[in-house]
Amino acid sequence: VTGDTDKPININSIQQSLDMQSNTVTFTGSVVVTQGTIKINADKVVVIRPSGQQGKEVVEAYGNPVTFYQMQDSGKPVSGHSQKLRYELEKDFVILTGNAYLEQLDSNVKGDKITYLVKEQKMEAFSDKGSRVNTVLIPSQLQDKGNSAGKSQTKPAPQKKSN
Amino acid sequence: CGFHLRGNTQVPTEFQKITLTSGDPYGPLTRSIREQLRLSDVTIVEDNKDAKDGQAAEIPSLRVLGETIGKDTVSIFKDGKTAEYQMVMIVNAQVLVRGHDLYPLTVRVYRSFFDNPLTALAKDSEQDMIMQEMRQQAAQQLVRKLLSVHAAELQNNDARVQGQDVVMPKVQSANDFAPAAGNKDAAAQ
Amino acid sequence: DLAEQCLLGVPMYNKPLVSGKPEDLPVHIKADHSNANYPDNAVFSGNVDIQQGNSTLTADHVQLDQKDQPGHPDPLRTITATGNVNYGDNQVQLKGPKAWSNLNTKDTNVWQGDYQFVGRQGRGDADLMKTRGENRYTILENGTFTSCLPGDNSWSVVGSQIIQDREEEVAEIWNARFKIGKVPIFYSPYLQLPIGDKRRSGFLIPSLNYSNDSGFEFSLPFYWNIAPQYDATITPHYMEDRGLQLENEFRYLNVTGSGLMALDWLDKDRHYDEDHPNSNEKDPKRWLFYWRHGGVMDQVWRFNIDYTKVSDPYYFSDFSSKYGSSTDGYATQKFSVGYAQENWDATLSAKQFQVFANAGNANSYRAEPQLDMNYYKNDIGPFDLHLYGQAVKFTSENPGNPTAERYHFEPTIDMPLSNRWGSLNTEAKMMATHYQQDVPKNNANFSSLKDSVNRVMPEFKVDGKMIFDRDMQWAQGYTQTLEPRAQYLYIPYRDQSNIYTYDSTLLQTDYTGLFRDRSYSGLDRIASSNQIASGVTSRIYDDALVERFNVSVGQIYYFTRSRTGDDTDTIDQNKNTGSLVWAGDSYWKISDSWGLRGGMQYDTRLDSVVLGDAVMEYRRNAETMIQLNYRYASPEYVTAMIPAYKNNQLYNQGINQVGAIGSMPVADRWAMVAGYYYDTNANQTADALLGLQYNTCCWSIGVNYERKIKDWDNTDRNSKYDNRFSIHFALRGMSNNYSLGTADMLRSNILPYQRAF
Repeated sequence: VTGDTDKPININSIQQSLDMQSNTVTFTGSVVVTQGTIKINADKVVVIRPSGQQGKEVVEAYGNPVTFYQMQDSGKPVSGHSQKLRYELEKDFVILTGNAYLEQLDSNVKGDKITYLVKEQKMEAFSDKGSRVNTVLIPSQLQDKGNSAGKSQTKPAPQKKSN
Repeated sequence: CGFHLRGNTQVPTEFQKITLTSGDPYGPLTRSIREQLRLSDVTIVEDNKDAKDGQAAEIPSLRVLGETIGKDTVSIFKDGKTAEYQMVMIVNAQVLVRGHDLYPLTVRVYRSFFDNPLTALAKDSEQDMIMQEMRQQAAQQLVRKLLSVHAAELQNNDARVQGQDVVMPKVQSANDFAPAAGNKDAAAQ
Repeated sequence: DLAEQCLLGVPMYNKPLVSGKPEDLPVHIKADHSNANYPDNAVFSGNVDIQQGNSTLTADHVQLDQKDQPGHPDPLRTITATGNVNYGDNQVQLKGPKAWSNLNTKDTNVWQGDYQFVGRQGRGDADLMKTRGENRYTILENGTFTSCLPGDNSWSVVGSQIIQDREEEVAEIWNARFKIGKVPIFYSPYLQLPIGDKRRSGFLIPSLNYSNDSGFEFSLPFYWNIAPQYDATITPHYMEDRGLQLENEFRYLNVTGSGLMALDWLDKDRHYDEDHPNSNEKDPKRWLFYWRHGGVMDQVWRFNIDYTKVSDPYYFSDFSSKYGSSTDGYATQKFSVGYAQENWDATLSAKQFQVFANAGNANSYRAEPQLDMNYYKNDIGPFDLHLYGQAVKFTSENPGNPTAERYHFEPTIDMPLSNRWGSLNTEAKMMATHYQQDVPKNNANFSSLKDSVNRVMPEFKVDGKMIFDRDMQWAQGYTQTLEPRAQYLYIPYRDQSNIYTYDSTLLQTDYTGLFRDRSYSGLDRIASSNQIASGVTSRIYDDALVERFNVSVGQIYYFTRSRTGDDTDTIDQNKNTGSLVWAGDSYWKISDSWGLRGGMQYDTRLDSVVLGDAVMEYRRNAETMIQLNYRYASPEYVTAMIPAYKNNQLYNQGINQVGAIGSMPVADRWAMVAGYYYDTNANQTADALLGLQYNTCCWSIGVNYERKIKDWDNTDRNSKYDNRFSIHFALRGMSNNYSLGTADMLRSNILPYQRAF
């Protein structure tokens, strides 16, 4: 939802290592990153704070897969997973690469790389040579059964009537 | 000369009791079939009225699908007018042996008669009389064809026992299914 | 065969069918690249492939728009596709540069493209193609339609707008132009065309004929699908020598059954006085009215109408019509309504006839009205009871003829006994008839008739048959039966010369006829009988118990003379007794494709073989067959049967006709038919037919030639012949009927082909 990126980020993991000089923090071992309604699970997360400025952090998460979840203003959550995830907080810009998958209640997209501007809800999917981007639009009566592939871990909030 | 009282050409035992259904139950054709079945010692079980509960299930059913009557000129006088008409009556029916197969039956009856325009009304009553007789002949043929259904059932039962697929019995020849050449005034019922 | 060759050029849908409304089906989109701003729209590019249910759309570039619909859970999703768009589902395939589709309703538009039906022939192109109603309708703006395969542009129909309704299987075309190749042949502001055989098989298109009495003929049918239960076909039929006839056929279906009405109308027949010089009419009106109806309602009400009326007796020999033939001696005009229950039924009918023989029409009799009632009560102890009653009023076209009211009551009691190998039926019947005749006084030959006549006659009949069978030695598994049958019939003599004959005529005694209890039809003549009819039938069943052969021979042994007291009837006047009448018939189904059938009757009272017929047929399939048939009727028999023909040289030579008719396909495309009937008494051709039809996947052209006897020329005492040569061009491929046209050609002559077995 709007205002997520103004909230504090908290990350917990089994190990942490800090590299003051390059302003990067590396978390390894079932890492969980939360900020407002945003939630990222990964095996390894590197947070870079360029020139130490708050609010411009870049989160790079690696996992098999990395999962991403965020609630939208519309009440419909967005979730996804991929091999690698890069989240630039300042521009609210998420980049999933490596059989990337992104899903809303009424549709989902699979591709080699998916970029997602959270605020403007702009999403772009790319496929490497020889592979394809797959999008599936799911009719409402199939949504509740949630039979679509790659259901996000957390049970989405009860879906309120959209309009 | 080897003839003995009717043996394997009698009405097969499994058809001694039969239910009769028809789209036109009170029409002349179904009435003739009902009469012929009675005359061939076959008891007609009303659909479910007097059949004990489970019993109606195993009884085979004869379903009368309808009759088509065609009338064509087969010979002419020297003035080009019809001398003889030939009527052909085709009756289609099905025998359903519960749980097994559905056997289509087609019978064909031919009768010819002389036409005489000067006594048209009398010729019309002759035609009605002949049609009634043709229905009886068709009914008799239908009863006789139950034999071939019985033989086909036996053949299919053996096939089922040996696991082969059930072959369409020799009840009908391929030609019988070709639609009758469009009859002049086929009063399909 | 032709069907396989034609269906090769047609796309098939071989994926499993998905059911369900389109908006309930998920949409799968594959593309090289996608760019979405959720939830409003998304752009897919790079050979985009969209699948939903049974439909697939591929294009270079697709834009998806999504708008929320108030009060509806699913948003309205529409897509616009550009760049070699290809839409396909289980009904139709559309190709074009640009397309739009509503994913909720499957409505799809494709611009400047072409389309092809799936699973059956039919294609074309259009400025704009729209599928609507979940694929029920295909609407074309400035479109074309043909059933020819791609690459074959033999014919096409062009229309400013074409609406194809796949459920009703009808296409509506506005500003229709029918084109052969590139050349437009005819135009019509509005045209309907059946595309499938649910309504009317085949596109009704023009046919061209030439005959020596109507000259060149051209007819152009218009089909009009009024409503699901009603349709009409209006055919202007131009005849060079006669004028323009309008043929209208209306078909209907309602709760009382289905029927057909037809009115053919020719205002002025310019050729009439040439055909019939002795008639004084100049360019008269020629018309035909035909009404046929048949149906059973609620299983109890029965409706039947068979009504044909023509403007003049020569109508059917001057015109070739679907509702009558030049061989018809009269037109039947019958109405009947009946009510039937399990053990009783009643039928009210009215019958009259328009007799074409000029003398005949004046004397033809009507039965208006006629009421027949039956009551059946079986199993009263061992007896079955059948009560039959009839009340009928006979009137005649000729006021000088007697008219009558006849009331008849006939109770019958049967005692049927039957078991496994035989049956014995004893029957007793009482026939009570009352006539109220109105006899013109001044006419000599009605002098013996009386105004009021009562006739009461009992009848007694015993009919027994037995069935023996045995396994046949020389044919493994075959069974032969021997079925003797005997029937004793007793009816006392009643002099019926005081009753006129209204609906009675001498019946033919073929084998089945031997065992009848009547020798005359109707009720005006009931012959006395003291006779035994006996016969034996033998049947052979093959190893699958299918009846392959039967032969029956029987005779009637008269203990006393059978008569009715009517002195005008030769058979009735005959005095001898003993075994006078013999009859036999036989049927042999040699194999699935060979069959033989025949019958013969011998009557000692006319001391000759009275009737004989035989037919042999080889039929490999619906297109390949040959039938040889022979019919014989002795001159004595014909004149005995039809006393009026006694000294008429036209009829009293009897019948002696041998015929052959056959058909053969050539190379899956040609159908050839030939038929020839020869009258060996008069040593002349009775009827000759030659037919040839060439078929392709989407059109056929056929040539028919028939030489037949049309009339008798009294002045130079010989038969008048008519040579009719017709070309018929037909469009094909709209329905899945891939026959080569043999069946229609075989029935296009006055002695139409009838299967022999």
